[in-house]
Amino acid sequence: MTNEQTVLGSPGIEGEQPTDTTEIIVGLLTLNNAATIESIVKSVLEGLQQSFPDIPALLVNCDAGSQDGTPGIIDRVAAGMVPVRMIPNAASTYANLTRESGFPGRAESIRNLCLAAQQLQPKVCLILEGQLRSLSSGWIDQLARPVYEAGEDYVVPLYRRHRYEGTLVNNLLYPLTRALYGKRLRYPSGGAYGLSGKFARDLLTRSTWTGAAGKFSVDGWMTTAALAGGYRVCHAFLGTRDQDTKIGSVDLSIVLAQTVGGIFHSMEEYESAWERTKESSEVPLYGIPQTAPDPGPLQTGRMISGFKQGLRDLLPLWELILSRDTLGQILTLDMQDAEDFRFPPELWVQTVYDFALAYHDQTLHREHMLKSLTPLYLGRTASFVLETQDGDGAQVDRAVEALCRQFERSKPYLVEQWRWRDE
Amino acid sequence: MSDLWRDTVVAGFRDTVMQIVLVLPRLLALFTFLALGIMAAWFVRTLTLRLLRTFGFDLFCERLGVAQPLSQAGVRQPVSSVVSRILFWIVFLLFTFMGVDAMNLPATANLISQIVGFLPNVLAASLVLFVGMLCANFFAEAALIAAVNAQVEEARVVAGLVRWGLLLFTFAMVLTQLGIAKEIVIAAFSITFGGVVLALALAVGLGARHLMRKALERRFGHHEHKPDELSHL
Repeated sequence: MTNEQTVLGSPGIEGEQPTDTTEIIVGLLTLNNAATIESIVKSVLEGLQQSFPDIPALLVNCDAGSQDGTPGIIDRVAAGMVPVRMIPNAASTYANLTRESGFPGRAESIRNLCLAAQQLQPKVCLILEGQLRSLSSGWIDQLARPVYEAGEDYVVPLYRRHRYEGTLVNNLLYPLTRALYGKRLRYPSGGAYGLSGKFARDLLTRSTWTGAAGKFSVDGWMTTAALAGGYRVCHAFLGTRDQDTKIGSVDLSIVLAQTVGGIFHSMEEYESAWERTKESSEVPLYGIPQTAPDPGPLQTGRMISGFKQGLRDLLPLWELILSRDTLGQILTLDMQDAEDFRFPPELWVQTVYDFALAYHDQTLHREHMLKSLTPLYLGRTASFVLETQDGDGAQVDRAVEALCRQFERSKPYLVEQWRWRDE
Repeated sequence: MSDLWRDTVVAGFRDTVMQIVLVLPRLLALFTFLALGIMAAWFVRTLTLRLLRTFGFDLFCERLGVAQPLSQAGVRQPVSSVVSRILFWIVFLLFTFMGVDAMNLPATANLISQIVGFLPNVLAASLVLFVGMLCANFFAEAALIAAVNAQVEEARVVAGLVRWGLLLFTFAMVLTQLGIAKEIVIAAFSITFGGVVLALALAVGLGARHLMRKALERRFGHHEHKPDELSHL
């Protein structure tokens, strides 16, 4: 028997069998989430009852090795309401403990869920993380309905955030992905996703689960796989996100290496897709976005000192990565005072593209190269905060939009240099 | 009397001529070996250089971080050029030794066999040196980036300590492999390494105990983790 045939594993306590016509699979990714999982399962059951009362559904618990009885709680709470299947991760789950999501073994859990989707051929496949305290019954509808009724293939969540939340997304991940693949889809920050069964099954055919790509962000490459594969993508606004594990607790350079590295790695795989994309278009949004209250003034001193230290100590490495022109302009930033510090968008775009090219060339050890981007990112973030601190959320949005357009305008430089290096 | 004088002169002359006649072919052999050595060495150098450049060896070394320390040490040429030059001299020296051996001089008897017998040690030492330099460079670079990202002011000092610590260890291994003053090398390494560790222990224990206490409390203590002011993702 193959792994695909047996992936659904043992039934829950009540032993209810998934039917051949299961249309919705709700995947719960867990690792020691006993504190939160009961309310999550209740919300999921309530959401299914409210929004899809007559649709056959299955709850799949992809557990990465919980020691606190999480799977038992799921079985108990869902007993008699929805069939439950438990898919434990293999022993190698802990090979890479430090993840940008703060959740080891997550990629394997998602793969197991995709295997279940391959076996049961559902229309909708939801991915929900077990540490989300704020998950409500409404999330099920917001994530599943666009797929079930509108024919979307990949639903990326948007959360209620204040204007400076997700600075890496706003300054790098989103503009770069948008410029590359031509869709204005926010880089996902995890938590919950909606996938069509077709897309979930297609993900299994990708080589990205193993090898060098395995160390990158699974959220990032799922997104690029959807964009490069021409799948229908959309946003769903889910409200506030509150979770047990704080993403900010993982080292910034690791987050950068895993997320940016994931995009750079995908650029090699989907070269033909992004090279021919010239403009970007909006994607559908389900729900009405809201912003959180302003966090108040942010301190940029430490970010600027981090940038200047990088300029002092990492210059020999940057000389290998950045073009002469880019480096020359970055060197002039050292002269600025903290209050007037500016890292211009044009220069930032050029810097990111030079890093992408250096990654392609393997000029340096790739992980070292990606981590050496951290001080530059801190400089750009400080500049971004200083540029927009006197305005409101709308001004931040305008600044992000302007940066995205700059990424799109400068893309011919990236394409030209990339092709030149390939010749 | 005159016969004895004549015989002595003739014998001396004949012996000298005989010796010259015997030495001449050996000298000729020496010069032949030298000429062949130059030609063979030049051929090996040119071939190596072309092959290395064809396969992008310089770029490969740059990626591995070999070119950078060479450049810092004042070697401004590409690594392919350095390697081909080294091979040139190795081939030339081998031919020179053959020539010297052909001279059949008592002082250089068994020279070749001794050199050939020592070659495995030299090769092993070269490999240790190469790997050691690569490791030193790689880990120093990793330490530098980590320290800069953690905003440690003395990032370059940290990276330098990692680099020179690993290089010291490598040099000690190379000398031991070559069998040069084995006991002295081991003793010197142990004293230096032990001294550094003791100095660090004293520095931390006496000079920076409060700092270390705070750092350890931050790392292992049970306290509320203060997240970054910004959420990056």
